[in-house]
Amino acid sequence: MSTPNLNAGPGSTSQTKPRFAEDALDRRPVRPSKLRYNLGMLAVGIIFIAAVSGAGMDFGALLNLPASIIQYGQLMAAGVFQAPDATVAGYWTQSFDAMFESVAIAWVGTMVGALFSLPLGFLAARNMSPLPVYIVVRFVLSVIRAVPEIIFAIAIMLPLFGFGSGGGGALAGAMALGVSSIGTLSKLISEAIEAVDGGPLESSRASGSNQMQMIRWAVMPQVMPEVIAIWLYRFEVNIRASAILGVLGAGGIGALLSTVFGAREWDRIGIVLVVIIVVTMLVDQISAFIRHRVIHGGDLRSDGGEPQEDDDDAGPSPENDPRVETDPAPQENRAAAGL
Amino acid sequence: MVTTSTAERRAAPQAATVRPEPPRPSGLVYLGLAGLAVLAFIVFWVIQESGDVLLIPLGFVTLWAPLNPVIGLVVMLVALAVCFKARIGTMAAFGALAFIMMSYWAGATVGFTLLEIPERWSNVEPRLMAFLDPNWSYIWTVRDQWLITISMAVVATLVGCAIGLVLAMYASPVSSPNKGTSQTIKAVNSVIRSIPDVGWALLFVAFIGGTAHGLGPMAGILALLMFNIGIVAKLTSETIDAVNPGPVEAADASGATLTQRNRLAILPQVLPGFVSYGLYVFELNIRASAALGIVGVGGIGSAMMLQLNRFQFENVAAILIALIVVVLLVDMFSMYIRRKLL
Repeated sequence: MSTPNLNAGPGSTSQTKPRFAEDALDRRPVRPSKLRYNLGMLAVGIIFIAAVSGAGMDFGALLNLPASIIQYGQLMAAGVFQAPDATVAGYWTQSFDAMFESVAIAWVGTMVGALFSLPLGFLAARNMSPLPVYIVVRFVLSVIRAVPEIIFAIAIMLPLFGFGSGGGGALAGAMALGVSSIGTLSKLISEAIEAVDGGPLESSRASGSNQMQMIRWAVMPQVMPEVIAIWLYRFEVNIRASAILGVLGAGGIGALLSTVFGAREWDRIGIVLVVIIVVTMLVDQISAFIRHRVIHGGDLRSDGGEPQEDDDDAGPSPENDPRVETDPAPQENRAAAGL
Repeated sequence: MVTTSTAERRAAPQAATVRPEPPRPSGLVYLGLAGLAVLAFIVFWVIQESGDVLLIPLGFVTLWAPLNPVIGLVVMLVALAVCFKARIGTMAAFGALAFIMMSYWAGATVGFTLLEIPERWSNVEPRLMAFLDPNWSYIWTVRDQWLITISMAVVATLVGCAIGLVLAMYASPVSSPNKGTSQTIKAVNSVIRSIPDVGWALLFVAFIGGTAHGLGPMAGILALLMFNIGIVAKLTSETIDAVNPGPVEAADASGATLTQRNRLAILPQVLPGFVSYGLYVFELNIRASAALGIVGVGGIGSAMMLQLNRFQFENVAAILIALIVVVLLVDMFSMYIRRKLL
C-alpha cells in the first residue's frame, strides 16, 4: 500500500492490483493538449502590449476622463432638460431638421446602392455568372468595400454635385453613401443568391427557360424577401454613416454636430445627441418591424408560433424561430455590414 | 359522400385547365390608398421648394400644376393601378405606396438631380486623373501613422470584444441573472449603438483633447471602443439567444452557479461566432480610423485629411491604395482564421 502502484493507469482509482491488465479502454480520456490555445493567447497578449505601446496612448488622460464625463454630462443634461423657450425650441427643431435630412440622405444613398446592387449581386454569385465575370466583379466589390465613404465624398461627389441647391452638400453625401453601399449590398445579395434552393432552378431549366426567365421565375421569388431585408439593414447603417459625411460638410446631422462641438456649446450638444439617439432608435424599430414582416410574413403572431424575443432593437432573430431557415443575412455578414 | 367525391373527380380535369388566381383585393381599400396618395400630393405641394410649373393647355383654359408633386402623384397612382391589376394584397400595395412617398420626400430633401453632372465634370476630372497616377514614393513615408492606426484598431478590438462579451452575457435572457438586467443592458446597448462612431470621436476629443494636445490616439481608441462594444455585444447576445439549451440544462441540473454555467455551457458554444465578430470588427476599425481622422484622432486618417486639404491627390491616392491593400489583407487573414476555427 505504501509503495505507489505503478501498474495503475492514470485514471485508475483503485489501490489494489487490477485483475486484468489495463488497456486504453479502461483509462479516462486523455485531456487534450492546451498548448496551441495557450500559444494563441500568448500571441494575442504580446500583440496587445505591442499595440498599446505602438499607439502611444497617454494613460494620464484616462485619469481625468471620469471627472470630465461627469462635468460635461451634467452640462449636456442641463441643456436637454432646460425649459424650452423660443431659443431652445429652435435648437430642437434645428436638430430634428438636420436629423431628418440625414435620414433622407441615407434613404437616397440606399436607393442608389440598391439600384446597382441587384444586377451586381447576380454577377457576383457563383451559380449565376461565369467564372471570369465572377472574379472581376468580386474584386471590384472588395475594392469598393475597402474605400471609406468619406473618400468618395471628398474626392468625387462634392466636386461633382457641389453643395447642391438645398445647400450643405446633401446630394453629394447621398451619392457617396450610394456608391459605397454597392460593395456590401452586392456581396450580401450574391451570398443570398448562392444559397437559393436548386429545385426551382432545375425545373425552370427543364421546362426550357432561358437565363433571364430563370432569374425572374426561379431566383427572384426566393431571394427577394432577403434582398429587401438586406437593403433595410443597409439603410440603418447609412443613417449612422451619413453623420461622418456631415462632418465634412456633406449635409445632415454631422454638420450640425461638428458645429456645436466646435463651439463647445454643451447644452446644444446634449440636444443633438438626444435627437440622434431617438431618431436612430425609432428608424431601427420601424425597419426591424418591416424586415420581420417581409421575412416571416404577416400572420406570424396569430398562428401560434413561439413568442418572438426580439423586443427592443434586436431585429429579426431568426435563430429563435425553428420554422425559419433562411436568415436574411448570416450574422457575420451583418457584422460586415456594420451592424 | 361517395357520389359527390366521384363527381368532383369527374369535374377535376375540366377544373384543372383553369389556373388558380389570387383573390381580387378589396377595391375600397385601394380607393383609400389612392386618397392617401392625393393627400401626399397636397403635402408635397405645400412643402415643395422649387417653383417648376407644369402647364396643361385644355383648349379653353390652361391649367397649371406644380411639376414635381404631379410627377409624384402620377407615379403613385400608376403604381397603385399596377398593384391592383396584378392582384397584390393591400398591405403590399401600401408598402409600395409608402416606399414611393418616402423616396419622394428623401429626394426632395436632398435636392436630387443628375442634371448638373456634365457642367461640373471638369472639376472632377483632374482629381480622378491624380487618383489614377498615385505618388508611389509617398506610401512608405506615412508608416508611423499606419502603425498608430493598426495599434488603435488592435487595442480597441481586443478591449471592445472583452467588454462586449461581458455585456452580451448580461444582455441575453439565456445567460443573464434576471430579466430586468437583460432589458436594461439591451436598452443601454441600443443607445450606445445609435450614436455614430464619429459622434463618439467628437465626444472623446472634447472630453480629453485631440491630436492638438497629443492625445489623439487615446480619444480614437475610446471612440472605436464604444463603436465595437455596441456591435459585438449585439451580435454576441443574439448568438447566445440561439445557443443549444442542452448543455445549459445539464449545467443547471448539476448545480452550477450562473458564472460556471455561462463559462462552461454557453461560452464554448458562442466562441467561434464571437471570434469571427471580433475579426470583422477589426476590419471595420481600420476602415473607420481612416474616417475618424477628420475629427482629429490621429492615425492614417489624419495624414489623409492633411493631404486632401493641400489638394495633393497623388499622395491621397497613395494612402488610399495602401488602405485598400491593408483592408484586403485583413479580410483574407480573417477568412483564414475563421476557416481554421469553424
